Parts: sequence; C-alpha cells; structure tokens
Amino acid sequence: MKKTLRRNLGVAIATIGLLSTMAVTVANAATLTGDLTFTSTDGLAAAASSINMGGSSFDEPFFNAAIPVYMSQAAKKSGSSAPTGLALYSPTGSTTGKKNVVAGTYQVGASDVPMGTVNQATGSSLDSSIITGAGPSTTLSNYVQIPVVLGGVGLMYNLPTVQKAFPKNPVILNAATLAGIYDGSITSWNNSAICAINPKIVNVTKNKAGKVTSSKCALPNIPIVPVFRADGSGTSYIFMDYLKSAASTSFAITSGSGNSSNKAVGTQIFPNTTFNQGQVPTAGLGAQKNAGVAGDVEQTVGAIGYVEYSYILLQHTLPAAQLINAAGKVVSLNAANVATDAANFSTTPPSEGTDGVVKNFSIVNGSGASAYPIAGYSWAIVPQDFKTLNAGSQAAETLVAMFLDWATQSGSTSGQNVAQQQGYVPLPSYVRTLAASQIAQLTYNGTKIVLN
Amino acid sequence: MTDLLTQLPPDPIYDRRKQIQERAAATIRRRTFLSRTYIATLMGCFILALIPLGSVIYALINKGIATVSWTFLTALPTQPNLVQQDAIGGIGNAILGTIVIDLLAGFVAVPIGVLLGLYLSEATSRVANILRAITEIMTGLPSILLGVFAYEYVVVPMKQFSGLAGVVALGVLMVPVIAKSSEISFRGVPSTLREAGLALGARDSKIAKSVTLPVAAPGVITGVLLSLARAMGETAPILLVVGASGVWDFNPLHPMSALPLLTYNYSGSQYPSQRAAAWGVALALVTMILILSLTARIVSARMRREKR
Amino acid sequence: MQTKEPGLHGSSEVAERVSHSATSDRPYKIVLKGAAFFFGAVVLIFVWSVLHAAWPALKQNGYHLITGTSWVAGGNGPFGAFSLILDTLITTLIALLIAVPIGISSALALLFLVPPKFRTLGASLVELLAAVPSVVYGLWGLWYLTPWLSHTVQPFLAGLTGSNFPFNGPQEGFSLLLAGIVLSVMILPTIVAISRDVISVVPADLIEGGLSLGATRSQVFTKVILPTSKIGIMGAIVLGAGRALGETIAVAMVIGSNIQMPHSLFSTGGTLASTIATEFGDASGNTGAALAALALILMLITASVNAFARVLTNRAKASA
Repeated sequence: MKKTLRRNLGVAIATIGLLSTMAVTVANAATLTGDLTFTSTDGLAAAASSINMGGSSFDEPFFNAAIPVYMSQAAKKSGSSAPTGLALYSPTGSTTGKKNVVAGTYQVGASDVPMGTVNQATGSSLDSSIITGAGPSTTLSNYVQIPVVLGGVGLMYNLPTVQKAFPKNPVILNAATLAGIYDGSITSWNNSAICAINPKIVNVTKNKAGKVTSSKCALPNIPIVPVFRADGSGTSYIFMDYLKSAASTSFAITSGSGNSSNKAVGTQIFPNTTFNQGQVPTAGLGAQKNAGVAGDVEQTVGAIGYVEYSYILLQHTLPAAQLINAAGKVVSLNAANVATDAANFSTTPPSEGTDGVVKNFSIVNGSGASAYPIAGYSWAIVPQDFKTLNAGSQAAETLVAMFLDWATQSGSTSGQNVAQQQGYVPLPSYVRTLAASQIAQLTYNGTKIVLN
Repeated sequence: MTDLLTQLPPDPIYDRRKQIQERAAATIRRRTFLSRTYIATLMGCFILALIPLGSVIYALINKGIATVSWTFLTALPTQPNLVQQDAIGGIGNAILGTIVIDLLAGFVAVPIGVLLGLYLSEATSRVANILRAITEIMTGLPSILLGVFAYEYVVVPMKQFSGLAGVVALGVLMVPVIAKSSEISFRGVPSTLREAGLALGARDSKIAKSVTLPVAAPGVITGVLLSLARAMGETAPILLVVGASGVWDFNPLHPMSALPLLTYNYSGSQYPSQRAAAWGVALALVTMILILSLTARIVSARMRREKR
Repeated sequence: MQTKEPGLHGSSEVAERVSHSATSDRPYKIVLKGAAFFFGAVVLIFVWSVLHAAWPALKQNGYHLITGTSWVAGGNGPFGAFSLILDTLITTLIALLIAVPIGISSALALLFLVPPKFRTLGASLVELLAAVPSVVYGLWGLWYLTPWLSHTVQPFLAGLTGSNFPFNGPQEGFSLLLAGIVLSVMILPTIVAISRDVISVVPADLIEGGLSLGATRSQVFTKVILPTSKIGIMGAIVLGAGRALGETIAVAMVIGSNIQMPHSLFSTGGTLASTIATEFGDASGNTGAALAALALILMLITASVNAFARVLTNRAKASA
C-alpha cells in the first residue's frame, strides 16, 4: 500500500512542478504590449521589494496603474540598470497606512486625511496615538506629506419612478437637505425642503387651454434610507467636512473617556472618518467600501449614498444627484467642476508646518459658479529621512522621491495623466508646486535627495 | 420431547425478546407511518440544504464563468483605466501564491494539528484539559486577529511583507480546527480495537500508527480538507500581511498575491469588469478545492480498499 | 451485564491503562506533548498580545465595556459593546437553529438515504460550500438574498405577528435575520461533514441489533444512531458555532452595520467580529484598544459555549 501511495504522490508532485515551471516560462517569455502592463523581464528579482506602499483604498487604482507605467518608462530609459523594487500598493486603509509608515513597514503610506489633522472642534490631533505609540523619538515633523491625487464625492440615489419619468432631471440637493437626510430630520423624499429645490420634478396638470393649473411635487412619499460608510474612510471625512462647513448640522456626537452614560462629557468629533452610533438614524445602512454603498443603494428603493467620483463615472445604473453650491448654482459632478472647486482655494493653499501638521487641506464648498462643492486630496506620507528613521536605503529613498515626483507632475507621460485615466481630477498647478517643494525636503542622513 | 421443552425453566431473555417482538408487531403500522414521515423529512431537509448550495454555485458559475478563460488563469494582473475598462489581465500569480501559501500552511498545520488531536483524545491531565479548552476557543476566533498577530510577530521584525506571514496566520487558523475534528475522529475509534492492540503487546506509538490513525483516517482527512478549504478562502488574515504583488513569485519571503485577496479587492473595485472578475476568481478557487477534495477522497478510498 | 458504549469515552480509560503498562513508550509521548505544548505556547503569546492591546480600553471603560450601549468609535469612546454582544448571540443562535437540524438530517440522508453512487459526490459538494470565500457569501447574500428577504420573507414574518416583536421595523433586507441565514449556510458544511464522519463509525452491530428487534428505520436513527453519536455531533455543533461567532466579512456586508440596540430581528447592527473587521482599518489609539477588548469578549463567549457543550457532553456520558 505504501509503495503505490508514494508512487502516486510522486507523480502528482512531479506533474505540479512541471506545470508550474511551464507556466512561469510562458509568463516570462510573453510580454504583453501596451503602456499599462508590467513587463516581467526580471519577474522574480523585481519582487525583491524594498519599497512597500499602502493605505487608503481611494488611491489604489492610481498607484496600481502608476507603478507599472513608471517602471516600464524607467526601464526604457535606463535599460538594464532600470530600478526594480516597487511592489504594488496594498489598499489596507488610511489608518493602517499611517501606522505602517510610522512602524517602518511601509515606505509610502497614503491617507485621505493628512496625518496629524486636528479635530476641528477641539484642536486635538486625531492621530496622536499613532505618533506616541511609536516611541518618544517619533514626532509628526519626521514625516513629509505630499498631495498625490484629487477626487470628488458624489451622491447616488435609487428612485426608479422619478428616474423614468424625469430622465433629464436628476434630483437636486443641497447641504441643508443632505444634513437633514443623514441626521434623520428629513425622513421622506417628498419633504418640503427637498421639493422646494426641485422645481423641475413636478407633476403638472393643464387645463383645456394648455395653461398649467397646478404643479405638485413628483417626488414619491417613500422613506429615505441614508447609506453611509461603516468602515473608516476619507470619503466620509470629506462628506462630513462639507456638511459641517456648508450647513448648520446637528451631528453633535461627543466622544469622551468614561462610561457610556456620560455621553455629554468629551469632545465633539465631527467631521470624522466614520459616522457613529447616534449620528445617523436607525433606518440608515452602513456599508463596506464604495462598492458596498453602491450595492446597498441599488438594493434599496429610496436609498441615497455617497461614493467617490470615479465610482459614479464607471457605473451606469444609478444617477448622481446635482448639488447647489456656495454660489447658489446647480452643478453636476464632473471633472471640470471639481477642478474649479480646487482651483478656487489657490489663495489659501495647503501647507505643512514645522510641526508636521498640514493646514488648509480642506477644499469643500469652494466659491465659483461652477464649483462642485464636495472634493478632497489624498496624501502620500513619507519618512523625511530614511537613514535616521531606519526606513530604507538611499537608493530606496531616491526611487520613492523620483516616483512621487513623476506621479505628481502633469504632462502626457506623467503621473497625473495616469490619474486622469483612472477617473481622478488632475492636481491644480499650485498643488503641484506644493508637492514638488515637499519632495524637495526629503533627505538621506542629512543630505538632500537628488532627483536624476 | 415436547414435554422436556415445556419443563425447561423460564428463560428471561427469550421472554423479553418475545415481548418486544409482540409489541413491535402490534405497533408496526403506526411506526411505519412515522418512519416514512421522518425519512421524508430527512430527505426534505437534505434537499433544503442543497438549495443554498445550488444558489451559491449558480451565482458563482453564472457570474464567474464569463470572466474565466485560459488567459485569465495564467496571465498577470493589470490595472484597467477609463479607456481600457476591461483590461484586467489575469490571476495567474494569485493562483501560484495561494498554492504556495496554503501548501506551506498545510505542511505546518497538519502534523501539529493531528498530533494535537491525538494528544487531546488520549490525555486526561489538567494540562490537557486546559489545552483542549484553548483549542476550542481558537476555533471561534475572527481571522483578522490572526492577521494582526502575524503582522506584529512576522512582518514587523522582518520589515517585509511576505507569504511567510500569511503561512503563520493561516497555520494558526488551521491547527485548532484540524485538532478538534481529529480529536472527535480519534475518540470515535472503538476502544475494543485499541484493547486488542494492547493485548497483542503493542506500544502506544504502534497502536496509534496501526490502529487509531487508519480507523480514524477518513474523519481526519475530512477535518484537514475542511480546514484547508477554509484557509484557502480566508481573506482577513492575509490581507494585512502578504503585501501586494504583480509578478510570478515562488519565494514565500517576498510579498505575494492570493486568490481571496483578489476576490476582496476586486469586489470593491470601481471597475465593473473587476467586480465581475471577483466571481471568476472565486470560481477558480472553489474549483481548486473541489479537485483537491475529490482527489483526497479517492486516494483515501483506494487506501482503504488496498488494506482489505 | 454492563453494556459499555464503544469508543467514545472508553479511550481515556484505555489510555490510562496504556500509560501504566510496561509497553508505554516515551518518544511517542514526547512528540505528542511537544506538538501540543508548542501550539499552546503560540496561543498563549497570541492571547497575551490581545490582552496587552486591550488593556487601555479595559482600564478606560471598566465593566461598561460589556453593559454600555453606545459605541462611539471615532474618538475616545465611550465603548459599550452590549448591543454588539446581543447581536452576536442573536445571529449565532439563528444560524444554529437553522443549520443544526438541517445539517444532521443531511448527514443522515447522505449516509443512508442517498444512492451509494452519489454519496462521495454529495459529500464533496457540501464541503465545497466551506471553500467559498466569505466575501462571496457576503456578495451572494447582498445580491441574491436581500431582495428575497425584503420582498418575501420579511413581509410574511411580519404578517405572522402583526408587525409586532420580533418581526417589527423597517423591512430593508439587511438585518440580523439575514446575517443569521447567511451564517447558517456558512456553517452547514462543517456540521454536515463532521456529523457524517461521526455517524459513519457507529458500529454496524448496534444498528443491526435495533433492526432485528423490529425497529423501523426512523427508530434506528433516533434511538440508536443519534444517541450514540451525540458527543461527536455536539463537537460538530461547537465547531459550527465557533465559525458563526467569528465570521467577519460576510456578516459585515449583510447586517447593515448600523450599531444600535436591537429592537427586532429586522434590526440592523453589528456583531463583535463584524465590528472588528469593519473598524479595524481606521482604528487608532483608544478605538484599537476597544476592538482588542471586543476580541477578548468574543473569546470569552466562545469559551462559554464550549464549556456549556462540555457540561452537556459530560451529562450524556454519565447517563450512558
């Protein structure tokens, strides 16, 4: 019995080994053409990655598209001495990205809210525990924060009867109604506040002469189900930031040390990366990731949820709401309107102070007639000096600097073009300047990194 | 002769058996009716169990088969963009990564798990009871905690994301399940067989090797297959520790890709093509398990036949 | 004559006799103990690291961690997991109530009622369910079960009780009930597979003895097979309950993730495991410690379930 078993096992292992060797040879021989593929000329060695990147899932499409493009461009330029060593990006979440950069397991961590952001109500940092947890010698100023992409946030809704009857008129909302929907004070779609700002979604009755005798709001009398992100997300932060700055909101959840009975003690934590218990109505639905929000909205008639712009761009089932911006105009979600919104903050650009905190990063509710009011940047966080922070070699830091420099430039072969192809909005010029000046701060053992 | 028979002392066992048979004959119709109803209910429940199975498999095939092709199974992944929204590439390196990580996890977890199960089925000391309780608790752990554990103890010291960390996380996941189900199987071995071994003068190890293990083998194999299937489908533990990779890589000390990781990432993607591909990835994964499971069962059946 | 149930609890007595006999061998014992203690050491390190991570939350919230009802994750708390604990117990209970009867019946059917040709295939197919990644269960629940629940099941159940407890509230599909149903499908293969193995080693002479006494097939099932395999089946249930308690992603996708005190089976909410998975990516400082505390509570619950099962098992052994 044992002999036949051993023989069968041997045959099986040999077959598997043969098949996998064949597969690897085939893979190595075939190089797919096109800008966006990873030519594995050095497949096995390239995986000896010394550079790990990860963080917010908002940035995943950008990095996973940009890394192969950059590597193949670099390979074409320098041939055999092409740099290897950029692994793909892990979408593990903003906070994990920040934690891992501070721990030294990521060389680049991406987060939608810059590290060290202070709570708008109290002035205390949202990330203090990440810094203090890493040891007494770690301070926020050890890290350089570089804006890499710009994106908008849209509202998807599910009203099939309205969509069918008024195909050219998406529902219009504003900050006040959105705040009411999400804090539970507006519970049905034909609420007077919503009807008031939707003059085109009406059922008109005309008399025999063709004159309009009455027009009633055509929004159905069904409950609104607000869908939110239950997992922490920069998209939530940007949305809440918008609600806070553009509407008087009642999301006064407080957080405090102590037991659950003294909820009044503590600090207001709005805006934040997540809606908490008590902030949204019990009829609301929490979902995981953009796809979860979209899925929940698709399954529930009367639901509304906030998702990234690129998500809305790529699906054709549900419409996106139009918003009334700060200038009082009705705007749709598109790249141009988001760019207008971002451009209008050029007089108060984001800046990283000597304490490492990034100020003025919020770009919600911008002025400008065509500005789409809900938008935000995403930030790459890099240790400022790889030697003193024990984050990697000089070659690694140079590669990171060069990659990020390429990634934040505009131009047909540069990173922002790749970003645009992924549904992001290209960074405005003043932000590109900021990115360049941030990258220039990277040093290795005190000497500035030279980009070649 | 009949006089002799009638003069025999009353035999209680014979009488009792006659009593039972008379009772049985009297109630046969009612009991048959109940039995038929019960059997029908059993079959009904079984078919009820097949309904969600059918639904899941239908979903997998319906949504997944469109995306699966030879290229899909052997190519490397690519990132689609607005212009080329369907250019998702393939899952080849993820299949390789899954095989490498789970094979290694199996090599580590199966011996430890089976030995642990053997130990728990035989030992009665206080320490053994504590170990048994610990093992049972570990079967109910959210797997994400094992991912955090592997991150703290493998990734941080190595300063490197690796398939090895995934092996550690999955290994710790598999051992309790294998141990518990093996323990159940080992306990199910009739003690008469073990006593026979003792009577022949065999040592513990000989009894374990020649009596306990072979008799419990089908159950142990079931437990191993179940835990291997579960480990192959687990996302949370490897999500945090294996990094991301777009290349062919056999080396577990490097970042690797894996099928459940891809399923999770693709299912949340903004590209409909990647969301559809998530089902294809899951279909590939389930097919791998099916092949593995059928192979193991055929091998074990052949083993049993050869013994006879 | 004292009849002893074969196998299931005699092994420890055999083991004791073996260990005291002259033929016991040390290397075998050392290998066994080595593997066991090695794993035990790994687990202890793990438990210690969870405790260490959870300590700040334990200090901050004290017993309110278990009795408090509001869970504020974005800042410094408060962290009250009572509603999470309730949701966990409710969903696991629903899953067990569905999966255990169906699972044991399926095991019996697979062993005795299905034609022999299809038995291996049937067993493999049911075990296939164990291989499906939990994300797929979440997606399947989201796309296939949610509409069925909100259009058919929930109105029907609400009709049964006149929209009163436990079937009151908005019928959105996403609910504790849906999570329980998805969990039941996920633990079904475990229960079926292990029950099948346990039942298949019931000695044939017991079954034949029952039949020879004139028992019908169902009586053989209920009075011979099930009592004999009771202990093993209990083990299968415990393993299934363990999986149900610890399931994260699939539950997170169908339970509605809107933490609140459950008012009915149609409430949305979050289990301990689904909350850990959902909030882990964005948890720092106090929230991270609170999530580690949730893990401790979960381990305590699992331990209690196992202890309860062991009490039942011991009582079964004693009465045999």
